Amino acid sequence: MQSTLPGNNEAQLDKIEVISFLFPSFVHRYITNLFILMILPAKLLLILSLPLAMAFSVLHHGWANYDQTTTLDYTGLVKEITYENPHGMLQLEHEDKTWTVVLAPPSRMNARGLTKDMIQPGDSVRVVGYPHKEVKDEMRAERIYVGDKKVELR
Amino acid sequence: MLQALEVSALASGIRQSTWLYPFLEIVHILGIVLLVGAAFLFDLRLLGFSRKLPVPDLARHLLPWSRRGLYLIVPSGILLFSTNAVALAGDTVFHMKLILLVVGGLNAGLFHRFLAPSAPNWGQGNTPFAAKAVALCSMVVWVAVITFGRLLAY
Repeated sequence: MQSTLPGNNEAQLDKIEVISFLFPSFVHRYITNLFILMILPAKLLLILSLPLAMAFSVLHHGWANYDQTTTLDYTGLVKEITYENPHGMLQLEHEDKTWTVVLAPPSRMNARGLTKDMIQPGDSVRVVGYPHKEVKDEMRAERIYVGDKKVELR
Repeated sequence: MLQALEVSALASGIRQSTWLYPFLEIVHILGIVLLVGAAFLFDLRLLGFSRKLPVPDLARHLLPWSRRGLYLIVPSGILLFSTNAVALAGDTVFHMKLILLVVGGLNAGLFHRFLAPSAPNWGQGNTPFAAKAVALCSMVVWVAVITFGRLLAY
């Protein structure tokens, strides 16, 4: 070992030598990296945050929060529409029920040819989507039919 | 007041703008890269990686960049908050995120107040146990903050 290192580190260096003797250094490094970078934070996170977040967040509109084994296909009148970030939403009247339909971000809808002025309150649209797993009467739209135009929203 | 913030011209402008909302998200993420990236690299040094780099020098290089990250994160975060203020203010996940931010700040303050003054004596050897604990706490807290932030995002 280099003699330029301070003397009080000799014990430390011995330890490193023993470890390098037992494992090739890359194995040791790999295990240490894996432990520090992934396993420990991941474990703590799982314990701390995920159950809490799942239980309490009121804002979950990600695809995973919708039951994609059940497809809803509703045609109805638009009561209200917001063409806003983070994603558009509309209220759809279907068989004396009002569904909250989560659409895509405005930029995506725009890029796919569904502009703001194309849907107005009172218009009839057809929406194909999935019901929310917890929130009643909310669905996320996979696609929407406006007039004779079909727009994919995922 | 939260209601007033949410319906303010600024907040609804952000919601309705095609590019402003994603722009704020990009600035927020860029800030996270700086803050958490620099903090992680410093934490890894405290945990025993790259021992040849003196801790005070590394602190002088990395920690100002962590701080500059905050200049991007905080304003963009406040603006993103304003677009959905009422729901966020009542969301437990958001509360957890803020509490963890405070914990992360206190943890960093703890290091600067009590441990950093003796850092020049650590040389190229091992860092004290307290410094390792602070580093581990920092990594876990920042990963948790990012996780809660991601779960908040609609």
